[in-house]
Amino acid sequence: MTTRSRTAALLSLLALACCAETPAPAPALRAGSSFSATYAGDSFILPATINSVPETFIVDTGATFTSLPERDLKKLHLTANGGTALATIADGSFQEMTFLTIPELKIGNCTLYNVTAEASSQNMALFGLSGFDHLTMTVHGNQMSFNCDQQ
Amino acid sequence: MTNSRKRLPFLLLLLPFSFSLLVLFIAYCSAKALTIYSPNDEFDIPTTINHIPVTFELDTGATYVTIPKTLAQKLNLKPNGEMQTYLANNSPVTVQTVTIPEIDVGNCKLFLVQAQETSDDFAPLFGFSGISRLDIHLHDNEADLSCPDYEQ
Repeated sequence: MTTRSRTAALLSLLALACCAETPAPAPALRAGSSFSATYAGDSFILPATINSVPETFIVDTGATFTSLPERDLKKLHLTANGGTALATIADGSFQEMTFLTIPELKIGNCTLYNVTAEASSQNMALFGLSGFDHLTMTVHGNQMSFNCDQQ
Repeated sequence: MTNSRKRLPFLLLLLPFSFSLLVLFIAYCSAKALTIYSPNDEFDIPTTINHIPVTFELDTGATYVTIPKTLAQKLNLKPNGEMQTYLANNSPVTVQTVTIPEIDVGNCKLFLVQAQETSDDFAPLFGFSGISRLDIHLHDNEADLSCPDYEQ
């Protein structure tokens, strides 16, 4: 084997090794199974529906759980009947929260099933990390988009 | 020997292809700042500010990068104003504003990042003023952070 061909072979091997490190592409998506959050100046807003009732979420990767304002539960036909736990909020203080399960959360053409959430005393619904299962989020500048995996 | 000679033109043809793949890989590696994981239901971003390691929590719900006061002093960051902001529970709080000259995230350097100085009860948060300066791809418990072209 000549030096050149050996070099070519080495480069080929290196290239193959490189490809192996490239992350696997996102799973095949159904047409229209993506949606975008709207940047509203200081937060990303997601319009969704729960039990056919509209609810607007702020996308919040800093929140472990998706949360719903207690005052909205009735109109969403939901009941906070899960367990309770103490949650730490941004300033380090504790706040008691009650869990619930959202059977179906529709955002765009994506439907998320059995999303664990908490009922909170806040005014805004937060789309926290418990809602991110089966979703891929991409942020570029002030654009945020989501793809939903096949479930 | 004859076979080797016959193979040589074919292998030479492969050379530019292999080289292209190598270049693409190097470009991929340099564009990708780092990958972070979420073992504890939060995404922590290791960074350095003025050569001091600072770990931020990735927080799309925060408008600004936030730095606790004591840490800001340690980083030699000087407040340059103040503003009112709201906590998750809607309570208003007045905070100092600072401009962080440089945050190093992997191989990505973010210059002049707007931030808020908070009380020491708060954790450092990587909010939208920092997030908007990176490309982020989050899937399962893994997030890839990379530098957009305009930050390189």
